[in-house]
Amino acid sequence: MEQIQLTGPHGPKPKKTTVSRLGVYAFLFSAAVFFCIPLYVMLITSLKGMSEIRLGELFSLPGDPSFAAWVKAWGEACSGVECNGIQTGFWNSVKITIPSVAISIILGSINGYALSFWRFKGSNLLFGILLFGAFVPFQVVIFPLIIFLREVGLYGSLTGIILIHTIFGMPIMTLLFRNYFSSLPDELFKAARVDGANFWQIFFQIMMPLSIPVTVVAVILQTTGIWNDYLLGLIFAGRENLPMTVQLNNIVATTFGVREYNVNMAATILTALVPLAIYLLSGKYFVRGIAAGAVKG
Amino acid sequence: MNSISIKELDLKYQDAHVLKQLNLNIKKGEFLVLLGSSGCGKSTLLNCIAGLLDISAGQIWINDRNVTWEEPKDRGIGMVFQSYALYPQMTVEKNLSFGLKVKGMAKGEIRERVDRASKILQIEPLLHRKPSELSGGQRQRVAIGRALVRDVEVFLFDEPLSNLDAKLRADLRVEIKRLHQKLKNTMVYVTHDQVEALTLADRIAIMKNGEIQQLSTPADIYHKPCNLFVAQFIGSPSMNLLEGRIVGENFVYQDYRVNLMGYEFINQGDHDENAFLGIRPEHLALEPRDGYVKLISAKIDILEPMGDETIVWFDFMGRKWSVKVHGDHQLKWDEDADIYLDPKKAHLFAKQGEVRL
Ligand SMILES: Nc1ncnc2c1ncn2[C@@H]1O[C@H](COP(=O)(O)OP(=O)(O)OP(=O)(O)O)[C@@H](O)[C@H]1O
Ligand SMILES: [Mg+2]
Repeated sequence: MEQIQLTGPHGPKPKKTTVSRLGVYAFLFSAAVFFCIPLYVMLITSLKGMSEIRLGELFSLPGDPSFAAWVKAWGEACSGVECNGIQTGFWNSVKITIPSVAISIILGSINGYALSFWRFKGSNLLFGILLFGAFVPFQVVIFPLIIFLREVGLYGSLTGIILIHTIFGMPIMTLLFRNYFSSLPDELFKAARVDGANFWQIFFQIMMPLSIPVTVVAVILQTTGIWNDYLLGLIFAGRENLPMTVQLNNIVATTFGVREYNVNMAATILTALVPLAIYLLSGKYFVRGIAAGAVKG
Repeated sequence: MNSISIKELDLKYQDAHVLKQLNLNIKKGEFLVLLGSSGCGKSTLLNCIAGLLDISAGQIWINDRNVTWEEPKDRGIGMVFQSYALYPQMTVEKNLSFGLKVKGMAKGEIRERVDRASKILQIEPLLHRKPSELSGGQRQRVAIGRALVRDVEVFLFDEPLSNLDAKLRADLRVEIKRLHQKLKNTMVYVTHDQVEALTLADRIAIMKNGEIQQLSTPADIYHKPCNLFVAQFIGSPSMNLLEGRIVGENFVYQDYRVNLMGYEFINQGDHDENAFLGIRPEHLALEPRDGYVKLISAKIDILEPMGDETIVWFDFMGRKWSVKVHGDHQLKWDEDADIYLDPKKAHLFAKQGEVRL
């Protein structure tokens, strides 16, 4: 067959590097640098010895990199009079975060499911109250909560701080799950009802498996939120259960002896490691989950 | 014996009165189609029968049992949804067996029922696929299968074919009809496609604004529409209309006179009132025939050839008129043509109330 010669525009449109595109890249690059410099400084400082730090060369690479500061930060650094490093705080935070995240997500998803599918009398009012709860600045309710927890004997306990995180997580978790479930087709729920499934069967067998993307988002939001919490932990957790953030502050702010910048940097990075890891591991799901929610309303 | 009986059913939302004192009796083994334009309350009615909506007043009986306050699962119904509503994370087999498992049925019996349903619907090779791996037609079949395994008296279909392309729709339509002939259970089928309604139904209920306008066989609905709405709703293109007056034996419209000899009035006797005369495009002709009378002469506006037939449009006194003629008619645009009409096939509706005369 004879080849036909096409003139004028044909085939895929050529990609052009325009000035505005270059501008976008330049902006992104400078933003990345801006956020990376502190991280870089922290990392290399934590690998330096104190004598090297005293030279004041903030950006120079360590001459003799060592993890000694990291080991010390983890196991020996002093906060106040105790010198067990930041590990106690780490395990406290784990003990606080895991149950709080699990409980708040389970309750939030049940709430969201009930609110979007089982419209009962006053369900809109309840949702309104929860929404309002999401916007109440939490400083306002701290004092009543302290009294409440003291009355029920949970003030300054692990259970108490878990309860507090669950309460504060409830509005946003409910909102997240309600919106997600509302985006699922109503007929799916109707079909399950005709099939004879009850409240819990529909939840566990139909809706839960469908809500994996939004659950990933919820896990990320709650884990980072609760891990990074400082104020609530300080107020409600009690002396024995202070979370890592509080302990980090105690270590960094200890005025006792020399300031060991390398140890402080290492302790800070250690504290930030968990949220960082969560973002890196689940970034793909996070974006997908948020996007799915956004597109479906 | 009635399979479904709806008595004085009312359904209100806060601001909308969707179903109004609706009464409907559906016989055992009957294929009833609910037909109406969008938003007239067909799905709402079906959901009321299924128990998925709380009704405001009235009763629903299924198999001579008052099920008004019963849960959907206890009503002895199976339902097929417009969006199929298959459980996305489950295989076809799990989709079919979910309801039975929830009921606590024995494994062996579940197997048996799933096998039987998948054989009837020819979805055996698909049992281990997820819904996302199925074509539209296959999904539809699985959705029907899910109702089938429940082994129920009553099937409810909510526009089950409206998401499919025309060809597949025609195929599945035939399959549903075959299924009904085989199973002989009661089917209530919602659609807004009149071809589906006419081909499938034993009886059609035509709805408008939450009220049933006419409940009758397809032939009756087509040949003896009870009011102007039904007359215009059924048929494509829809019925041609003239507004005039009945004077004795004649329908008078300006200087035109149509002799009504042979028209069967519901009420015999003298008529003398303002009325609409309606005539379907297929009951008009462009050449004189036995029993036809000449109506008018008009200019051809548009020709719509459809292969076996051609629809000829005229501009007649400010109204669009259409005539269906055989496909090999030699006609030209802008020509004049004579239109003939068969008075026996005409329809007369009172101007007052728009009911059939
Ligand atoms: N939850 C609701 N709240 C208020 N009004 C509603 C609600 N659901 C449906 N309606 C109204 O009830 C009427 C009937 O709706 P329905 O879904 O039964 O229509 P339909 O006949 O099935 O139409 P379609 O052919 O488009 O499916 C519509 O006017 C609709 O706006
Ligand atoms: Mg509908």
